[in-house]
Amino acid sequence: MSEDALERSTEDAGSEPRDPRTDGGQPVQAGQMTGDRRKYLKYLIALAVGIPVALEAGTFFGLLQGQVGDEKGLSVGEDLLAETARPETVDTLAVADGTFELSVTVENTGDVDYGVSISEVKLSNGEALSDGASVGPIAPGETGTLAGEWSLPDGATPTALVVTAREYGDGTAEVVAASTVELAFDD
Amino acid sequence: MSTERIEGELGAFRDEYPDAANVVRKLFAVSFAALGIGGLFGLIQALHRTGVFRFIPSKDYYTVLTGHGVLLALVFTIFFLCGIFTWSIVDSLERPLESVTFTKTWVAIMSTGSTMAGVAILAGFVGEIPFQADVLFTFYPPLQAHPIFYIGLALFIIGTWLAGIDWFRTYWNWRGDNPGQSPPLRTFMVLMTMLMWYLSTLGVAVEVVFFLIPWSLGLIQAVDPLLMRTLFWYFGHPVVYFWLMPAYLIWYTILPKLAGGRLFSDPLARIVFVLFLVLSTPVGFHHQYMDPGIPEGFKFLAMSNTMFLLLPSLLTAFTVVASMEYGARRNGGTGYLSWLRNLPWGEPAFAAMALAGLMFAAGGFSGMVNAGMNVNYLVHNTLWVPGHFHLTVGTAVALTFMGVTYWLWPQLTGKRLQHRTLATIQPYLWFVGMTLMSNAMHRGGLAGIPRRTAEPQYENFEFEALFGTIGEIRWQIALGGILLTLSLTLFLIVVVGTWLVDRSAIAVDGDLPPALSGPEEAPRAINNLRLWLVIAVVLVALAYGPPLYTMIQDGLFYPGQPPQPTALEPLWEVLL
Repeated sequence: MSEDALERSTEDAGSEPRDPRTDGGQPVQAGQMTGDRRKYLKYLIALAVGIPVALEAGTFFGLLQGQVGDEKGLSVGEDLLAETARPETVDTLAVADGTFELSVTVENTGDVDYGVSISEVKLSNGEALSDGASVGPIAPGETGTLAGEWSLPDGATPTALVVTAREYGDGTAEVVAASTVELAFDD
Repeated sequence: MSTERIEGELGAFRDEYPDAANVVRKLFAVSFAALGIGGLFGLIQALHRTGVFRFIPSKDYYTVLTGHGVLLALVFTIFFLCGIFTWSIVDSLERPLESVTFTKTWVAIMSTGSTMAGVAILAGFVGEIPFQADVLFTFYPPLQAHPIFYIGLALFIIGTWLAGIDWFRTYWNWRGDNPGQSPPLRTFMVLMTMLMWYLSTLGVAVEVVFFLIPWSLGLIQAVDPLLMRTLFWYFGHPVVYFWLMPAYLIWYTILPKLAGGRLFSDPLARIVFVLFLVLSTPVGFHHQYMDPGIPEGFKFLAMSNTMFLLLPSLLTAFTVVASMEYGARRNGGTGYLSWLRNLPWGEPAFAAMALAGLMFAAGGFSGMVNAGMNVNYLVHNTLWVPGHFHLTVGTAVALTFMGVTYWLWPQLTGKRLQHRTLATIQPYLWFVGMTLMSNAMHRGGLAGIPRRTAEPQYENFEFEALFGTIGEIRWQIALGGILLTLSLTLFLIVVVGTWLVDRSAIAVDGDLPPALSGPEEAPRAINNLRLWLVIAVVLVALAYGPPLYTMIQDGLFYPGQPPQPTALEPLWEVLL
């Protein structure tokens, strides 16, 4: 830029704003645009800003929920039935080679016999496997393991378990908890 | 037909400096050709590794990956840099090229080198051709390419050195005619960038010339992988700044004008470039946190230097945003944030640069994770890393280059910008596409999905997303890649369409207004190039001297560096 040009631009910079265009095309300042062009630009900016903001906000809250919030699906080390006083700790929870494998350690900390059963495994394709698995009755102070393997149809993943916990006494079995526990496997 | 001149305006750069404009157009043409091919390779990668659409064998994925990296990270960026720097030197010093023959010589050397490297890479697709270069962008051993790949790279680097000599010579001649004057800001930025480049390319030059070429020719049987990696990353991080510094030049000198204002502070801009020269080279070990054989203390030093590098980036964020705000307020903007509405978002050059700067901020945050020694271990070699650099070089640099092209191309060709509607849409499309792709890559990295593989899925193992699903992440990457390719296509249509149209009368406003705070307010030491270069060399010697010394104790070509840092005592014995 020549010194003259520099001087001119210095002077210009203090006067009215200059159109920064290089080639005499369509007006660019928002206030100078035609109605249609301005409207389309607004839509464009709304989308270009809105999509990233929504995406990043979703990511942020998703990560946050993963760290501090309730997780949607059951995972290893968690309690299968949080609503019962007795611990039912998940040891194995995996899908591999078309098989769903689950094992849970049940510790009977109560004063009557106790048992846990799974009556149904719900699948992502809308079907359900009715082969059950159970453990118990477990004597007070004792520990038992509920273990099961289910063959999965092609492309299906388990989405939930129908679980029932019972207390046994005097020849009767009383249901103390019945719950559908959600799982979170990737499709 | 000549360009119509408007009263009070300069003519097109093409009319004032036809030889320089011709050179810049050619450099840009090579750059955009590489951008087109490299971008297409990027789409193939995105579709292949996500499994959305596969039409190449996985073996060829690595040819595509190498082509994508080399064509975009080296050819697209550096040819464009040479173009924008040539324009900057000639326009800011108001001097034509000192020697057209010399300029054309380095352009020819760079082009020859790029062609040799490109042919070696593309030959990987053809089984009948007995050479290949599937060595990825980083090209260090144990992967080995055909010698013409390395020789091509060496020529390419030599070409950039000669380009720097060309620009320095122009500056020295200008200084002879203008004793005691501060170099114009753009010239200062070019010179500082090239000093950084000379210093940092020593590493890769030694690696390629003394080790890789002889190794690929069979003259030596083995090389030390750790030494090769170290020499590469000595260059490999500064090259990031070699991509970024032209973008900074554009943000500092052109973006404020497009916003309707002026740069906030010229001295601050010079300080930023001084900091880049001083700090950007002694940081390469932060790419080698996982490498055994490098003392932890020196890795820590690299981390500290890297964190210091945030300073010039944050200074830039302040200065550029302040400059934009100044322009917006001159256009009637008010309020704390309402002034943003008074920026020219309908001007593709401005929108591209502003969106690029915004995304660079996001890239800076993920870069901090990369730079942290302990946190880096979580994301090392995962999809997180390409997620990061697609924000920096893939958007901050690439989209800024596209944006400045919309502004400069008419000045270089003397032709009115064509397809303005497409040009207006293009930056926004890139922004959305990159948000989708990069976001998903970062999330994939957190889930442990590896990078640089055609088959990221291990057998008998399921990646677990922190939220959402892996399938959704893959689709997001693929969709982002498709939108980016579409955006790239729009850009190329605008550029080629403008180039092919007949010349017509256009108004040209190529003036760049001076900063609100000019160079006369800077301390004189700021322009002392020798001082800053000496400091940079000393820092490099401190950061790299002892570790390099330990690496070569057991011989330059010894490939079996023990998997633990070598003791430094012998060095002290030598010194004492």
